[in-house]
Amino acid sequence: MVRFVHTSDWQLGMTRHFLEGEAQPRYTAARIDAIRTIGALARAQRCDFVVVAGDVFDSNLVGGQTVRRALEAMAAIELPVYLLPGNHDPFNAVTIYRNHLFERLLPANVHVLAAAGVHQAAPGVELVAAPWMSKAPLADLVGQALEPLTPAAEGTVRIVVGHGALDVLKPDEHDPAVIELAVLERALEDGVVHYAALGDKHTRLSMGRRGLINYSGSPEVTSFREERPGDVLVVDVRPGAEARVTPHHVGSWQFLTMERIVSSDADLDELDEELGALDPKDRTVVRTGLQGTLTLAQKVRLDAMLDAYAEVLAGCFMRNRGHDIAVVVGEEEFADLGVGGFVDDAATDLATMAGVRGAADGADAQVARDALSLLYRLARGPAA
Amino acid sequence: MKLHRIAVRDFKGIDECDVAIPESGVLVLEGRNEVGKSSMLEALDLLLEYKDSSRRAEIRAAQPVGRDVGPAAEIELSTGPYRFSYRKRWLRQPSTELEILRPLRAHLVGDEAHYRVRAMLAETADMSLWRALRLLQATPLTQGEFAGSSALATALEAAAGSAPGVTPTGSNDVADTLLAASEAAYLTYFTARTGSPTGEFRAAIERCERAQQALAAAQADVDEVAHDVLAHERLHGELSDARELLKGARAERDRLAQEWAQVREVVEQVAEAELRRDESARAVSSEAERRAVRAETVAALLARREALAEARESTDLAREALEPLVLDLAAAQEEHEAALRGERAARARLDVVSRRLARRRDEADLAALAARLEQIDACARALAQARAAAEASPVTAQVLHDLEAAQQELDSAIAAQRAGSASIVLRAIGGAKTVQVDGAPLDLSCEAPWETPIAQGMRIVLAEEVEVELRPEAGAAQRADDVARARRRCAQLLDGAGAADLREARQAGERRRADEAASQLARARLESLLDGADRGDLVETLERLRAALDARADHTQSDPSSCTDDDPDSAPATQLAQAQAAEAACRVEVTRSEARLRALRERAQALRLDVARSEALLSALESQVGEQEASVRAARAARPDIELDSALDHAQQVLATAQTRLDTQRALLQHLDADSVHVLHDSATAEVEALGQRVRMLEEERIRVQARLEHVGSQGRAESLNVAASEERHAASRLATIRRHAEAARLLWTTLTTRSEVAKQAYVQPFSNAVCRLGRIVYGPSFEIEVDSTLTINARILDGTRIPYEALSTGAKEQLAIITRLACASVIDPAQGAPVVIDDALGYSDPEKLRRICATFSRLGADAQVILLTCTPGRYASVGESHVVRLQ
Repeated sequence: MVRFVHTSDWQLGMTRHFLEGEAQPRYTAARIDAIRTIGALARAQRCDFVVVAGDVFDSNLVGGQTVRRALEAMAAIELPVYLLPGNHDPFNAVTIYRNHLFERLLPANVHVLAAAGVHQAAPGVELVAAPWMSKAPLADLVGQALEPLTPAAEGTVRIVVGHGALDVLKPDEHDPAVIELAVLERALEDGVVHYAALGDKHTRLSMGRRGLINYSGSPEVTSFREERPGDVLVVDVRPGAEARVTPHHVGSWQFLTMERIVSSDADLDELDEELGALDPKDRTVVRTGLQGTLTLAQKVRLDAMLDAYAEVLAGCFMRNRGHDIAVVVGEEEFADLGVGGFVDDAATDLATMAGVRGAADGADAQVARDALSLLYRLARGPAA
Repeated sequence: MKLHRIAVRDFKGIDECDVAIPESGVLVLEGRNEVGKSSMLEALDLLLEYKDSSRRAEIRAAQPVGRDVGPAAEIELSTGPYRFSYRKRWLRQPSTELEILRPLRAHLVGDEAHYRVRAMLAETADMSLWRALRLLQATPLTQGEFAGSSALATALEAAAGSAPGVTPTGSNDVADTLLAASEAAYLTYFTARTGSPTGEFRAAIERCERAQQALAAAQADVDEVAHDVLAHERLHGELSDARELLKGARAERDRLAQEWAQVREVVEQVAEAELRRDESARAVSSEAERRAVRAETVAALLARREALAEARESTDLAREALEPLVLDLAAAQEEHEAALRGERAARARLDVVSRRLARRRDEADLAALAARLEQIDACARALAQARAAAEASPVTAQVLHDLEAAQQELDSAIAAQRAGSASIVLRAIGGAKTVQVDGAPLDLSCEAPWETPIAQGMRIVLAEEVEVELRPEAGAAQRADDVARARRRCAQLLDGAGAADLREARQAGERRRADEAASQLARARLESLLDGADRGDLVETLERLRAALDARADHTQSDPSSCTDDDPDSAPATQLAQAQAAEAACRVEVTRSEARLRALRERAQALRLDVARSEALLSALESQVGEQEASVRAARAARPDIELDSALDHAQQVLATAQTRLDTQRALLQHLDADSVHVLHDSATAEVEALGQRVRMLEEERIRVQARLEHVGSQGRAESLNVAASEERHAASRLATIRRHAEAARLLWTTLTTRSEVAKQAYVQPFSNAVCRLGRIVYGPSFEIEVDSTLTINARILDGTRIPYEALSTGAKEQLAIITRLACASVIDPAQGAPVVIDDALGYSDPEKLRRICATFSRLGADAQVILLTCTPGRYASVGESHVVRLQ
C-alpha cells in the first residue's frame, strides 16, 4: 500500500489584482504557509510522498524571492515531493526548473518530473509523468505517456501524474492538448495505472466512473469562481484494491461574492449584519453586486458602510465599476436641509440630470447622482 | 441703524466734541483740516470694535500727543428695536458703559456691556453695509463691498421679487456656505485658474499613467521572453530539418563528384588529341612552305638572267651616242678662245682714246683758274686801300652825331641864358666911345648898341669916371654854368674829332663815309669772285691740276704707240664712240661662244654618266646571276625537288589520322554531357556549403536565445508583470473613484455657481436701476452702467461710449462712489440700513458736477441718514435741506 498527498496548482508567484496594500503580501505568505500545512498533514497522515500535479509556479519567470521561499517550504515537508511542470511552468527553454537559483537551492527531497514516462518513486511505486514541455503542446500528453505502457507489474502501484483539462470538461475541438477521459479510463481498467493525479482545475473535482481520476484543486483559493478551493487529497492506493481518496482542507482564505438587492433600511441592516458575521475578516475578500433603489440618505449610509468594511476586510469591492443602485431624491430631503433659493434650483437641475425624476442614464446621470450625494453631504455636514 | 449722537474726548487732536445727528436728512460737518472730523468716525469704529482693555496700535495712536489721558468715545444709536448710549475709555482708567434706553431700560458696564452691544448689532444691524456705505478720506476710491450685505440683498431681492423664475430666499448665508463648501470641494480636485486636475486627482492620474507605462514595460519584458521561447522551439525544429537536408545534399554531391572525375578524364584525352592534331598540321604547313621556297628561288634566277641581257644592250647604246659629241666640243672650245682675243684688242683701243680726251679737258680748266686768281688778288688790294683810308679819319657817323647834339645843346643853353638874364645895352651917344668892361676896353658905336646879358658880375667903367657894377640875379649863375658845360662838351668832342670846328668835322665825316662805301664795294666783288671758295683752296686746286697735267705729259711721252694710232683728223669724241661700239660687239661674241661651249659640255657629261651607270649595273647583275646559279645548284644537290614533294604527302596523311582521333574523343565527351555534370556538381557543392552555413547559423542563434533565456530566467519578469498589472488595476480603480468624486464636485459647483449667478443677476437689476436713476441727475439721460453679480460697477456708458471703471477719471470714480452709496441707501429700508458717511469727498469734481451731485442727496428717502464731512465750507451749499454743524 502506498499513501501520498495529491495536490496541484500552487501557482506560486501569483498576484491578485483586487488585493490592495498589505493584503497582497499576506495572501502570498498564506500560500507559502499552505505548503507547510500540506507537509504537516502528510507527515501526520504518514504519507510516503507528495505529488504536485502541475503549475507549481505561476510562471517560469517568477522572482528569486518566490523560488527561495517555495523551496524552503518544500524542504520543510521532509517527504519526497514530486513536481510536474504544467502549462504555467512548462519545461521549455526558459523553465524555472533549470533556473540556476532553483537548481542550486533544490532540496534533496524535491524532484522534478521533467521527462515524460515512468519514474520510480519508491520500491513498488511508479509515477507516470506527463510534463508540459511547452505552452502549447500539440497532443494529449497523458495519452502519450500512457501509450507505450503495458499493465503494471504485480505488486507495483502506478500513478499517472498529468496536467490539463479533460476533454469532457473542455469540449474544445480545436485544442489538441485536452486529456481524453476514455483513454484514462481504459488505462485504469487495464491496470496500466491505478490512480490519475491531475492538476489544472483550481477547485476539487472527481471524474470517471470509479472516482480514480481527480483534480485536487488549489490549496489556497485563487478566484471567486472556485467552488471547492483550498483542499488537498490524501490518496491510498493498494494493488488489487480500489484507491481511497480523502480531501483535507488546508486553505485559510476565502473569496466571496455577495449579490444582494438593497432597497430599504432593512436591507441595509441585513447586509451590515451579514458582513459583520464574516470571519476571519482579514482573510476574506468580498465582492459585492448590489442592486436597488435608495434615498440619498440611504445611499450615503451604504457608501459609508462599505467603506468601513473595506477597512477591516482583506478586500471589499464592487463587482462592476459602479453598481445598479438608483438614488431617489425626495423633495422633503432637501426641504429638511433648510436651504432654499438658488440651491434648490441647482438641486432640481442635478436631479433632472440624474434621471430620478425623468428618464436619463449613462455616465452623466451617474455624475449627477454623485453630485447630488455630495450636495446632500455638504448640506448635512460630516455627520450625514 | 441710525446714529443720534457722537461724542469724543481726548481723542487725537480733539479735546472734546459732541455732535447731535438729526433723525433723518443730511448732516454737514464743516471744519478746518485737523479739527478731527475723520477722528470722530475712527473713534466710532474703535468703540464698536475693541474692548476698553485693548492696547492695540490704533488705540495707542488715538492718545493725544504729550498728554497722559485716556481717549474716550460715546455714541447713541438705535438699531432694530434697540436704542442705546454707549461709552468707552481706553488706556487710562479704562471703562465701558452701556445705557439701553429701548425697548427695556438697562445699564451695563465692562465687558458685559461690550458683548451686549456686539450681540445687539449682530442681531439687528448690517455691519458690512455700514462699512460699505462709508467713503472715507483715508481710503482709496474703492467701490463699496455691497455683495456681503444681507440688508442690501434682501432689499434687492424684495425689489426683484416679482421677477419670474427666481426663488427668493430668506437665509442667504446657508446657501453661500454651501456654495463655498462646494467650491472648496471642487478646488480639492481642480485648479482654480485653469480647471485642470490637481492634488489627489492629479496624483491619481499620474499614478495611473505611470502604472500603465510600467505595465507596458513589464508586458514587453514578458513578451520578449515568450517570443524567445517560441524562437527557441522554432530554431530547434529548423535545426533538425536543416541537418537532415545537409545529409542528403552531401550524398548527392559525392555522387556528382564521382561523375565529374570521369568527365575530366575524357576532357584530358580530348586535349591530348587536339595537341597531336595541331602538331601534324604544323608539319604539313612547314613541308609545303619548303616546296614553295624552292620554286621561288628558281623563278628568281630566271628573271635575273633576263635583266642581265637587257643591261648589256643599253650600255652599248650609250657608248655609241657619246663619240660624236666629243668632236663638237673641241670645235666649240676653239671658237671661244678666238672671241676672247678679239675682245682684248678692242678694249685696249678704247683706253687710248679716253685718255687723250681727259688731258685736253684738264688743260682748259687750269687756264680758267689762273685768270680767276689774278682777278681776286686785284680786288683784294683795292679793298685794303679803301679800308685804310676810312680808318684814318676819326669822324665816324657816331662822333659826328654826338657833335651835332652837343652844338645844339650849346646853342639852346646860350639862348636860354640870353632870354632868362637881364641884359645890359650900352649905346654910345654922340659918337663912339670906349668903356671898360671888367677891365677890358670896349668900343661902342652909335649905330650898333652893345648888348650882353648879365650873366655874372660885371664892372663897367664909363668914361673912366663911373664904374657900374652889375650883379646878376640868383638864376643867372645856373644858366652860366649850363652854357659853360655845353661849351666844354663841344670843345671836347671837336678835339676828339680832330676838327677845329663843326663844319670841319662835318667834312671829315663826309670823307670817311665815301671811303667806307668804296671798301664795301670792293668786298662784294671779292666775294663774288671767290664764290664761296677760299683763296687757298683755289691755289691748291691750281697746283694740283698743274702737277697732274705735268705727270700725264710725261706718261704720254713714254708711250709712243698712243700717238701713232691717233687719227689726228677725227674729233676725240667720235673716236671714243667708235672704240666703245667695237668693244661691245666683241663682248657679245664672247658670251655667245661661251654659252654654246657650256651646253655641249653638259650634254657630254650626262652621256658619260649614263655609260658609267650601265656598266656598273651590268657587272652587278653578272655577279648576282652567278651566285644564284650556285645556290640553286647547291639546294638541289641537298634535296632534290622530288624528295620535297613526297615529304609533303606524308605529313598530310599523319594530319588526317590525328583529326579522326580527335573527333572520336569529342563525340565521347559530348555523350557524357560534361557541362551538365559540371553545373550539377557545382550547385551540389554550393548547396552543401549553404546548408552547412545555415546549420551553423541556426546553432548560433539557438545558443544566443538560450543564453538570453538563461539570463532572464531568474529575473522574475512574470511576477514583475503581475505586480505591475496589479498596480495598474489599483491605480485605474482609484482614479475612477476619484474621477467620479471630482466630476461630481465639478458638476455640483458649476450648477450651484450658475444658479447663484442667475439669482444674483436678478437682484443686480434693482441696484443698477437705482444707480442709474441718481446717475442721470449728474450725467444726463444717456447714463448707463454695467454691474456684475457682486454689485461691482464694471463700466460706465455715457452717450453710447463705454468706459471701464478702472479707466475713469478720479473725479468720475469719486462721483460714482457717492452715487452707488446713495443708491444703496435709497433702496434699503431705513430701518434695515445704515447711515451714508462721506468724508471730505468731491474735491475732484467741477462746480457743475458738484451742484448736480448735491441735488442727488435730496432724492434720498426721507428717513435716510447722510453725514457729510468737509473742510470746505459751502461745498454742500446746494444740498437742499441740510443741517450744518461747524466744528471748532
